[in-house]
Amino acid sequence: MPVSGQPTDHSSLFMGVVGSILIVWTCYTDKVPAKVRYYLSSTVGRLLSVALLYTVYTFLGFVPALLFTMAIALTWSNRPLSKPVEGFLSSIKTTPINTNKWFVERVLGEHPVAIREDRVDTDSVQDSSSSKNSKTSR
Amino acid sequence: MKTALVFILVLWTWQVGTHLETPYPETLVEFYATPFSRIVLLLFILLCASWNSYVGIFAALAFIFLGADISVFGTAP
Repeated sequence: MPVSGQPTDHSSLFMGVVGSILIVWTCYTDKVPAKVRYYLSSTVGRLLSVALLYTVYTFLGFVPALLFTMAIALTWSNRPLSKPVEGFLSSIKTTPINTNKWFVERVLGEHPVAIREDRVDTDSVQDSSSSKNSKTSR
Repeated sequence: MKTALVFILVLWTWQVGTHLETPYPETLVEFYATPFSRIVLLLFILLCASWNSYVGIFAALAFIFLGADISVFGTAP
């Protein structure tokens, strides 16, 4: 249950500091470093966040807990889908080649050792023009 | 009054959450995009929460949907 009674100077100062941090965090969740967002949305991070939410509710009350919930929810919604990489090609997945060569590789005399970036991200086709220029075949 | 506000917020969240291409009002998007007005919006929600917890919870839910959608589909600074 939330702590009741007369707040002291220290506790009101603490509430002010924590409240300010939570307000800034909630408003600018997209500015939180991608690595922090990634770890907060992992399984351990989510469990810790929920435990911390319970702690905030127990010691600080309903409104800071609501603020913390909003901050956590927006952080999770802004999570990066894959682990953020720092530096150039530091941890990009490479798949070693163990099978037979492709025909093209044999003809061109290529000897590949591994495949780098075998994951392809695609986007849907976007058309921002106002005129209708598409034809469909039936 | 409180029940009406909760009902309006539930309707709003339902409309935004269940329809894929429901556009947010342009004023609200611009209001959320500005850093200072975003804080004002959040403080208003906290004021609602300290007035009535149910209104605060549903207003917070609407704020979360707005923030999540704008960060995905919009270009908030």
